[in-house]
Parts: sequence; C-alpha cells; structure tokens
Amino acid sequence: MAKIVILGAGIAGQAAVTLLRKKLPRKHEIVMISPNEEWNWVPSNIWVGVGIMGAEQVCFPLAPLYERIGVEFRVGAATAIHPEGDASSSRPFVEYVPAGTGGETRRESFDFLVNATGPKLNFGATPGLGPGEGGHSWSVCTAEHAVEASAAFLEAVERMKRGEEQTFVVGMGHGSCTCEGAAFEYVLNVEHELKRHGVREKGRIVFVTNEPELGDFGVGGLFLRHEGYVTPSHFFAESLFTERGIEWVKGANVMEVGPGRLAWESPDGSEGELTHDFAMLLPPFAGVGLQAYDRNGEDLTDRLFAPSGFQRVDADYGAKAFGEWSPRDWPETYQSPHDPRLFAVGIAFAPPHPVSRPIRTPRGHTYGPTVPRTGMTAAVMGATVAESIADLVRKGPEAPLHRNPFATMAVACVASAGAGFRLGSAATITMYPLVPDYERYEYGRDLESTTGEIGLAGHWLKYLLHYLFLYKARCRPGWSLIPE
Amino acid sequence: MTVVKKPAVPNQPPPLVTQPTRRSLRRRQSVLVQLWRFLMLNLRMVRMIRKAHR
Ligand SMILES: Cc1cc2nc3c(=O)[nH]c(=O)nc-3n(C[C@H](O)[C@H](O)[C@H](O)COP(=O)(O)OP(=O)(O)OC[C@H]3O[C@@H](n4cnc5c(N)ncnc54)[C@H](O)[C@@H]3O)c2cc1C
Repeated sequence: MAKIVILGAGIAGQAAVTLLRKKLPRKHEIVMISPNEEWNWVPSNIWVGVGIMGAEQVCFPLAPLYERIGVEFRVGAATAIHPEGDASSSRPFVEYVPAGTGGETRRESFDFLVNATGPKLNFGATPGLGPGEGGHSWSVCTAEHAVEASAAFLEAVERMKRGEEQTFVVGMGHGSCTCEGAAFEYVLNVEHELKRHGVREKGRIVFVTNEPELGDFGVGGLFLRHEGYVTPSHFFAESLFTERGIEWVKGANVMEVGPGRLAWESPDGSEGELTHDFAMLLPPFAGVGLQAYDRNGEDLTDRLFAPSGFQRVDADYGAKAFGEWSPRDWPETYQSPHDPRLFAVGIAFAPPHPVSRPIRTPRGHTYGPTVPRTGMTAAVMGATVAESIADLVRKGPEAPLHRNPFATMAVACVASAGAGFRLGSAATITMYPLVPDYERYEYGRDLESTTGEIGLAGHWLKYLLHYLFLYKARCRPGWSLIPE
Repeated sequence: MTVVKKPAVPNQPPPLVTQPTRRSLRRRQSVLVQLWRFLMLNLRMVRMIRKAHR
C-alpha cells in the first residue's frame, strides 16, 4: 500500500489529487494538506473584484468532496519536508501546522509527495503594498481579497455618481511580479463596469506594469495571427487600451505605495509618481517558505529549494546570460533532482530563469516579469505528475515518468474585458509553445496556434470555462472527460 | 482631487495603434457573428488542449 501526500488544494493540487484518486485503488492512501477549507477558481476572482460575482460563486467546500472520493483532508499549512525521515524512522514525512491549533506541528508520512503550494503573496516586497495592515492597495489574488476590492471599487463608483472624479490604478505592485494577464483582465473589467454604471467619463484609469512592453505577459511578448496580420502583442494590447481610454506606464518597478499615491522607478532610472483613489496592485510571488531537513536534522532547504522559495525540479538552473536561455532549460517531469519521491507542480516549481528580457536600470536594479504558471499549465503539470506517481505505484520504481515539457506547453488565455450575455467581451489569446523557440519558428511561436481576437464569443467561452472547471474540480459525473 | 505630479508615461511618444471601425465594433457584439466565432474558438481550444496533453 502506498501513501501519497499532496500539499495545496489549488488548481494544480486539485488536478493531481483527483486524478490520483481516480487512477489508484482505495487501498492506497491519498492525503491532502492545505490551509484553505474551500477550493477557489482563481481566474473568476476578477469578476468578484468588480462586484458582479460573489465569493460563493467561485468557491466550494472541499471536505464533503474529499470524503466522497476517499481523500484524507488535513486542514493546515505544511512547514517542513523530511525526505529521509528522522533519527527514529527512515520513513519520509512532512510536518504541518493544523488550522486552529496555535502552532502545534503534526507529521504525515509519505511514499510520494507533490508540492502544489502555489505562491506566497509577497506584499512585504514593496512598502505599503496590499490590503493588509499598513497596506494601501487592493488585491484579487484570493476570493476574500477580491470581495474587499469590490467593496472599495463600488465605493469609488458611488463617489463618481455623486459627481466626484476618481483615478483607478491597476497593475503590478513590484518589478518582479508575474501574472500580468490577471491585472490586464481586471483593468479591462474596471473600465467596462465604469461604463455600465454610467460614470466612465468621471474616471481616469492607469495601468502600471513591470512589463518592458504592454502585452509582454511574462512570456517575452508574442507575435500573433490577428485578422490576417502578424501582430506583435504590444500592438494588440495598446490598441485595446487606447480604444478604451486606458493610460499605461510600462517597465515600472513600483517602489512604494502610500495612502492615495504610488511611486515607481522606470527603466531609464527616472521616477514616476501618481495619486489615486483606488489601486489594485498584484504582489510578487515567492515560495511559501517550506524547509527541508535530512535524517540528522541538517538543513537541506538550499538543496531542495531555490532562493525564491520555489522547489527545484528537473530544470537547468545553471546561471546563463539572456542570449543563452533555451527552451531545453525548462522541466519535463517536475521531479526533484534531489529525491525521486518529491515533485513540485504549478507555481510551486522554481523556474530556471525568466522568459522576458530583464530590465536593468542605471541605478543597478534588475527586474522584469516572471514567467506565468497559468491555471491551464498548473493543472496539466498536476495531471502529468499524477500519471507518473500512479505508474510508479502500480508498476514499480522502474516505470518511466510521464513528460510534459513546460516550454512546449500550449496556453490559452481568455482575458475577460467585461461580463454580460450580450454586452460582455473577452480577448482570447492562444499560444504555442509557451517558451519561444526561434530555432523552430521564425516568430518564436507557431503562427497557426498563436492567435488573438476580441469579442462577445470570448466572454461566452470564459463563462463556459468558469462552470466547466468548477464542475470538474467538484468531481461531478463525467468530470475526468473535461481536459485540464 | 487627483493630481499627477509627474507624467504617468514619461517621455513616451503617442502609441501607434489600430482602432476598430464601426463595422468591427458591430461584429464583435453581433450574436450571429459571435456564435460562429464561439464555434471556431472552441475548435481552437480543442487543438490547444490536444497540444497541451501530449
Ligand atoms: C486574479 C487572477 C486571475 C487569474 N486568471 C487566470 C486565467 O484567466 N487563466 C489562467 O490560466 N490563469 C489565471 N490565473 C493564474 C492561476 O490562477 C494560477 O496559475 C493558478 O492558480 C496556479 O495554481 P497553483 O495550484 O500552482 O496555485 P494556487 O491555485 O494558488 O494553489 C495553491 C494552494 O496551496 C495552498 N497552500 C499555500 N501554502 C501552503 C502550505 N504551506 N501547505 C499546504 N498548502 C498550502 C493554498 O492555500 C492554495 O490552496 C489568475 C491568477 C489570478 C491571481
């Protein structure tokens, strides 16, 4: 009998745990350790953040589901991995702090461990960033954050209805942020909602991003097939913003967020500053701070994890200059090079380097967008690792691992630009491969598969995906037929 | 009141962008045209999913 422990009931963890449970007979034990009692379809937090959906529409409780499908659920946060066990036993185990126990740690032994802990939302990286204590901006990274953001957004709308002018700033709260697509979506929704509330002319909207060009999205930008042309994504994004009267600041390394103001450093070293009445700024991501120890209690953290806190997997982490980066640097199996029983999927794996060219300022700061580990890629990684572990359990340690190279993953991004059955809109961008390969493709990517368009159909698709993925995550009948 | 102390986009020329014609705007919201696009987008998604699950 094997025991598999999954850390993190997010998009990647849920894909892994549900597929493992489907593949392995009940005699094998599957345990989920996660601090959240509810599963959150994060992409729809965008709609919660402008007040058109409630948190209950994007979340559902996990305990009844896990009971039904036969997964042990420990509500708590993992703190340390002991891949060699300890002095008393050589069985690997993970330590976690159960919710509501005031810090007392418990152990869960394992034969295989999947780290799907996602990001630590590192608001502390920029003074004044975030919705917490001492913070002066909002976030939509969690459903709770999105509910708070929507309340502040709707208050600003009320002020506009009373005749006041308001400035909305949306974007990235630090130079090293990732997930630019989410902020891009949110700003388009803010614009759409201001129009719907009849107050658009009273609002100034500014998008502040760390991307060197708008539409970089952390993938170095892309050339896409759009209405018969090969269009650079910055052109596509600038057109959408100009059409909607959204201003933008690119290459911004936000240094400080104060009450009603924010300041940033630009690539040329100059400083910019803007006052605002509402700011939604995403934080940079870091690993959740898991530690690792060998059987003697010696610290293994630096070997298992990168300095960012994300877990090292089968990627090439050698230091290389921008011109030497290759699609082959990216992982395929998501297995730890340190221990074959450990895997990391979704945002939890350490990228070998960015894809976008880093920005270096005259002051010596280096920053730039980090590669996005989107929902689709996170779920595909979770499923790939689940297939590998199921084979290792059923066929033994010689079973070959399933491979799904991160660099050659296909990505579909449906960026909502406003909701509504007749008036909704979304920019649908598809891209293949994720990491550009200039040896194989003239424009770095396959133009047959790299496309972009905007319209009502995109909104219907986004809505359909919302219901499909919640259905799949709930393991309703036929769920496994719905692809990640 | 909102005051911008420094330009939000320092030293940047105005962007060169395409803007949709009225016809494009109508097509983007036309239920008939968009039903067709919806079908095409779903087919494109199927292709992307096939590529993603190799
Ligand atoms: C606002 C927003 C909109 C987005 N829109 C899109 C989109 O339209 N399309 C798209 O593809 N992607 C989108 N993304 C990105 C997508 O949400 C992420 O790529 C995806 O959630 C990553 O999945 P994950 O499982 O790695 O992390 P998560 O989904 O964040 O899950 C991590 C899980 O680990 C848990 N955890 C944390 N610490 C611990 C610990 N110590 N021990 C155990 N568990 C722990 C967390 O509670 C969480 O449940 C969006 C992101 C945001 C923020």
